[in-house]
Amino acid sequence: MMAQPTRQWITRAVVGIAVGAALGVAIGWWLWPVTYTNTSPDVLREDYQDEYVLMTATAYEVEGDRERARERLALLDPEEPSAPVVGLAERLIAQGGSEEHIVRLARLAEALGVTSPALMPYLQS
Amino acid sequence: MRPPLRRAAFLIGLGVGLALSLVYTWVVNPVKLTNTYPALLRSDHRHDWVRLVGLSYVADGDLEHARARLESLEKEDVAGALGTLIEEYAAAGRSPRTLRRLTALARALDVTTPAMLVYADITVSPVPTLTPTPTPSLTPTPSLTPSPTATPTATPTRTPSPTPTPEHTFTPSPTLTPSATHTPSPTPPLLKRVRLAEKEQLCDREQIPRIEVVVQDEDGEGVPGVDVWLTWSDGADRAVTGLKPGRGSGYADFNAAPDVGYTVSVGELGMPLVTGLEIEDCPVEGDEEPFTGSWRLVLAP
Repeated sequence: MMAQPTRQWITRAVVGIAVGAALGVAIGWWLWPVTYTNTSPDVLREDYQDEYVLMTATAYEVEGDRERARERLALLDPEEPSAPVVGLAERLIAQGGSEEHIVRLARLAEALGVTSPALMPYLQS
Repeated sequence: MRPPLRRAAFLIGLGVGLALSLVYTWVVNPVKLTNTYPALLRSDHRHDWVRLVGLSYVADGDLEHARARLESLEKEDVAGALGTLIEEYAAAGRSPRTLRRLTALARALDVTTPAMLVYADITVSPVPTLTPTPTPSLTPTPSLTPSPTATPTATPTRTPSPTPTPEHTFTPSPTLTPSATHTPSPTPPLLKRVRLAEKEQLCDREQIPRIEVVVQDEDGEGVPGVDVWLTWSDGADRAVTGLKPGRGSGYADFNAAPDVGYTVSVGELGMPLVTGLEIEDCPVEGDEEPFTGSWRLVLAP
């Protein structure tokens, strides 16, 4: 059977660990959490990401630089850069968004080699 | 166990627990930011964001939207990225319309770069939206007030008055008279009227052969922001006047090579103003080594 002093020592150590862990969590997640100042567009709030995609489509219209547009979109979805474009365009269609914006997105999606039945009417306009 | 040792057990546990949990919260499972905003982007992404805003403004001309998109960013970021974009576009010979739009955005955001000054000078002021029409004015003036039996109110009425005369009633309001600032840019008509006014060979041994073009208006003032084209049998180059402010606001130049026939035109590759222009040797005296000169062309109405 464990001696009384030893048991007390272990108990105190466990209590210390518990208090320390609680303090650490409070410090690490609330008081001084990791701060990000060098983020990438993929962690932007959703409305900013939508703006980013829309501005990329508009910039493509102005500059005509498809590869640059692809690089920008790859920051949001490296596997399928066109996905955010098609996603936003379809969302705007469903919400009755600006036709001008949808046309721009549809054109960029087409330039990236992606077509969608929902976008087809906007490519003919 | 003695009391100090009991306290040590607690402190050791506290330290271990604190260290472990900080490793967990800062390294293993840190706070994940998924709803950030443009100001937190890495600097290259921030610059690209500003660039995208600028290009969107070129397409839409929506200043309020552009301001909203740039709201969270530091002014230094905006100024740096927008200035770079304008300089880059000017150097690449992008269309004056695009550069005017970017310049307008930069001015609205208090950003200034040397290249934008060229385009700021020739921005066309908005055309007055109120256009005087030949409809007779219905507002009676004291001198036109008819007989005492007429209703002396300012209510527009088509009741014919015997006294108003056409020259009074057709006079547009002074506020509708186009002022000097509403005069359209002289560039379009000017480009149709400019001709080769002066051609001078420049002889400087230290200078690389080139073709300098100066576009002037009726008053001999340099005209900035004019596209100048230099074409030859298998190529073309374009420059915009005024990008070297030290040489004058109507100045542009091209490097040139001997034995090539060049054509110079302005505007949208329209009618050539100078054809068959070749770099030639400068006259030398005695045993001087021959060298090629440059050309300075002055285009003016």
